[in-house]
Amino acid sequence: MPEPSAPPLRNRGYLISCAAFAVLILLVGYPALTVLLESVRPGGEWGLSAYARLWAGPRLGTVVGSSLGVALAGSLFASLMGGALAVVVAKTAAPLRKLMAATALLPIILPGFVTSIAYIFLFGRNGLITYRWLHISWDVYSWKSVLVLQSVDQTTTAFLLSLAALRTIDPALEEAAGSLGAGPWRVLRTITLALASPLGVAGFLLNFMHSMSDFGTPLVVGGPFDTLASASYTQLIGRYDPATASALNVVLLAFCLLAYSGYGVLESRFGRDRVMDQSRPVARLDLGWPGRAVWLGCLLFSLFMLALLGAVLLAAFTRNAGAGVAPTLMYFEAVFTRGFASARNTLVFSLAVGAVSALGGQILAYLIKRVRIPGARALDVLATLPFAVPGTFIGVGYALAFNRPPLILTGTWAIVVLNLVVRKLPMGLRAGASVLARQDRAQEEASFCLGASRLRTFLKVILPSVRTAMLAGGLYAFVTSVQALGSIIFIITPGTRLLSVDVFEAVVRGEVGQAAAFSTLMLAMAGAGAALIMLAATRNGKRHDIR
Amino acid sequence: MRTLKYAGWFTALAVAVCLVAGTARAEEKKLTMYVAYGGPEVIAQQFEAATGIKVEFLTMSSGEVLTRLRAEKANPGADVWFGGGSDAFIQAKKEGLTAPFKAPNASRVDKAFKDPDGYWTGVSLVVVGFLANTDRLTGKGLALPMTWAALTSPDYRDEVSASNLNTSGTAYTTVSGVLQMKGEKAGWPFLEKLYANIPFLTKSGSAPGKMALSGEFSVGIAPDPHILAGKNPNAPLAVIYPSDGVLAWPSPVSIIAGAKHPENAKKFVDWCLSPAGQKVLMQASPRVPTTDVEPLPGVPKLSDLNLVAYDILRWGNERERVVAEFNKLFPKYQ
Repeated sequence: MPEPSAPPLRNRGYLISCAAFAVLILLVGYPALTVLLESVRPGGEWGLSAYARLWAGPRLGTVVGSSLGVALAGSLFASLMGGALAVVVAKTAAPLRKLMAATALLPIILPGFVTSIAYIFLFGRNGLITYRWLHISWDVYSWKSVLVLQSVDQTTTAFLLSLAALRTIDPALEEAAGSLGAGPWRVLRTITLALASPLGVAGFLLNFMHSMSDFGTPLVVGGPFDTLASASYTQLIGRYDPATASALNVVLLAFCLLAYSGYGVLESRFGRDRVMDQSRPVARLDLGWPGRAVWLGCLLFSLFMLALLGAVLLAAFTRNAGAGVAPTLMYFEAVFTRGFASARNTLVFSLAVGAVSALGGQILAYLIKRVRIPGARALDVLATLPFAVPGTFIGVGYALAFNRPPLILTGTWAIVVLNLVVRKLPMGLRAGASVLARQDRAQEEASFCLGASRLRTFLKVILPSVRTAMLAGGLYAFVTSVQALGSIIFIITPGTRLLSVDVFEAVVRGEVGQAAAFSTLMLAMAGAGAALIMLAATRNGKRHDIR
Repeated sequence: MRTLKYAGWFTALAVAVCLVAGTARAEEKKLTMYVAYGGPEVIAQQFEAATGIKVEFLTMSSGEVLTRLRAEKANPGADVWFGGGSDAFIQAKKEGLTAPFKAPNASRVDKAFKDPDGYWTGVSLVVVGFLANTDRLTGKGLALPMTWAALTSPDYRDEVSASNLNTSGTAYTTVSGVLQMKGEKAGWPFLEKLYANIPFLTKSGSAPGKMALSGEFSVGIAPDPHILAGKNPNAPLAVIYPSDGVLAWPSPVSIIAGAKHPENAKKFVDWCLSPAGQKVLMQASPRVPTTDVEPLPGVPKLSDLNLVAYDILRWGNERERVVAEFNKLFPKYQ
C-alpha cells in the first residue's frame, strides 16, 4: 500500500508516540502490573505463598473447573441460540422476526445482575412460576441458574456476530449452490454456515471470556457455587486477602488472554476485505419442519427474555415481591431520594466516558493506522489489552495501584472515569480503525496537497466524515458504562456512587423491589442510549443510500 | 463571527471556574460515611437539617468497610464509619484504622457498649433473632422454632437462611454468641447441626430476613427481626427471640483515621449520641437505643429478653481464630 504524501512527522511522531505510551502504560500497564506484583509479593515478601494457598486445598481445582464448565457450556449454548436466531432473522421469512431480533438485543440494556433479580422473582424458591403456579420447589441457587443466565446474556454477542457473518456472505454463492440442485438445508449447511463458522467460533471465544470474568451472576444466583471471578470478589471484599484475590485474578487473566489470542487469530483470518453485492436481495429460505422447530426454539427464547423484562418491571412496582402482590410506588420514591446522586453520577460519568473513549479511540486509530507513529503495533496491543482483561482484574488493579504514592486517586471521580475509559477504549479504537479502513484517502491527500497540516487534516477532513460512526461508538460506550460493575465496584466511594453498584448492593441485601426500581432507571438510561444508536445507524444508512 | 466564538469559549470557561469555586467552598460543609445501618437517608437528611453539613454515604456490610479501610489506609475514602458489627470496629482499632474521640454525649452510653479509649461508641443495640414466614412453615408442615436448639432439628433442613461470617457482623455474632453460650467444646458440634440446615450463606446480614419475608426460606437468622416485620404489617411473619439465649451487640460509630473532614465527623458522632440524634436514629431504624431515650413501640425491651452475657471484647479479639475455625469446619461455604 503506498504511503500517502503526508507532511513529515518524524520528531513530532516520536513525541506523540511517547505521550500515548506514557498514558497507556500508566492507565493499563501499571495497574495490571500491581496485581501481578501483589500476587507474588503478599505482605511485602516475595514468594508464591498466595498461589500455594490456591493449590493447597481442593479449592483452585474446583473453582477453575466450575468456571471452565459453566463458561464453555454457556458459550456453546449462546452460540447455538444466537446462530439460530441470526439464521431465522436474516435468512427466512418466518413471522415475528423483528420481535426475535429485538429480544435478542435486550441484554445490551439489561445486564446480567439485573436479569438475576427477575429470574429469582420468577423461578426462585418462592418464584411466581415455579413455586406459586407450578408448586415445584427446585434448587434455584446453583450452577444451573448461572448457566441459564449467562447463556441468555451472551446470546446477544453470538447473535450480532452471526448476523454480521451471514451478511458478509455473497448471496451469489448460495444461489449458485441452489441452482446446482442443493436443497435449502444443504445450502445453509455447506455454504452459509461453513463460511460463517470462523466468526461463530470467534463469538464463542468472546463469550467464553465474558463468562469467565462475570462475578455478579454466581454471587447472586450461584448459592454455594463459586467461580474464579466470584471467589476473587469474596476474597478481596469479604476476607480482605488481596494476595489471594490477585492470584485468582492472575489465573483468570491467563484463561482470558488465551481465549483472546484465539479470537484475534480467527478475526483476522475472517475475510474482512470480502465485499458482497449489497444490492442483491437476500434469499429467504423455506426450511421445512426442522426450520419450524428452530423457529419455535427462538420464539421460546424471546418469550423468556420478555418474561425477564416484565418481571423486573413487575418487581419494581410490587410491594415485597413474594409476600402478596400489592402495587406500590415506594421503591421509586427511594430512587429519587436514595438514588439521585447515583443516577446523576451514572449519567455524567457515562456521558464523559462515551465522549472521551469515542474521540480518544478515533485519535488513537488515526495515529496507529494512518500516521503510523513509531511503535504503532505495540500501542495497538496495549490499547486493546483491556478488552481481554477481566473487569475484576482491572478493578482490583486500580484499587491497589492508585491509592498509594506516586498517584493517589482513590475517592475521586477521575479514577472512575479513567477506569471506564480504559475499558471502553478498545471498542473506540476498533470502531475508529474500521471506519478509517473504509474511508477513501483521496480527500486526505487533497488536503495535504493544498498545504494543510496533519492536525488540520484530522480536524477538518477526518473528524467530520466519521462523526456519525463516532457518535454511535460513543453511545455504545455510554450504554455499556451505565451498567459497568466489575471494574468499578472496588473503586467507588460515597461521593462517586453509581446506579449499577446500588443495584448490585440491593440485590445482595435481598431488596429485590428496590433493586428492580433502580434497574428500571438504569434501563431507561441505557435504553435511551440504545435508541439513539439505532437512530444514528438508520440516519447513517439513509445517507449512504442517497450516495 | 470569530469574536463571537471566543466570547462563547470565555463564557464557558467563566462558568466552569465559578462551578469549581462553588464546589470548593461547599467542601467545608461535607461529611462522607461508610454505612452499615438502616435508613441512612433519614439520618443524612436530619443531620444536614440540624447542622447544615451535607452527608454523602455508601452502604455496605461491615466486613466490606474493614476491607476498604485497609485498602485505603493511605487515603481514606470516607470520614465516618457508621453501624455494623462491633467486632469489626475492635479489629479496626487494633490496626490503627480508626481515630479516638470521646464525644461529650458518649457519657450517656453504658460502658459495656463503648470502647474505653473512645475509638468507637455504640449508638444502638442490634438484637439477633429469627424471622419466620408462617405461610411457608405451614406449607412445609413445620412448627415455629422458638429456640436455637429447635432450629438445629433436621426438620428445618434447607429452610434456614443465614449470612456469611466473613462478610457480616450478624453472622459473626451468631457463631461467637453460640460459642459463648455453650462453650467451645459443645458449641462447635451445635453449630454443625445448625449449619447443616443452611444451604448457603448470604453476603449481607440483612438478606436472610428478606428471604424469609419473600417466602424463599421459612426462617432467617436476622438482625432486629422486628424491623422487617414492623415495616410489613400484612406479611405472614413471626418474630422470635430464642428463649434459650438472645444475642446482641452494640452498633458503633467511629471516626476514620486520616479523615478529610475531622471536625464534621466529630460533630456527627456527638449528634448521634445526643437525645435529638438518638430519636432520629430510632426513626431511621427502630432499634434498642444505647442511651436512656425511650425505645419506640414494637421494639423489644431489654428486660424482656434472655440476653446472653456476650463478651464483646473477647470475641472481637478472637475474630480471626474463630473465622479460620469456621472456614475449616464448613468448607462448603468458602
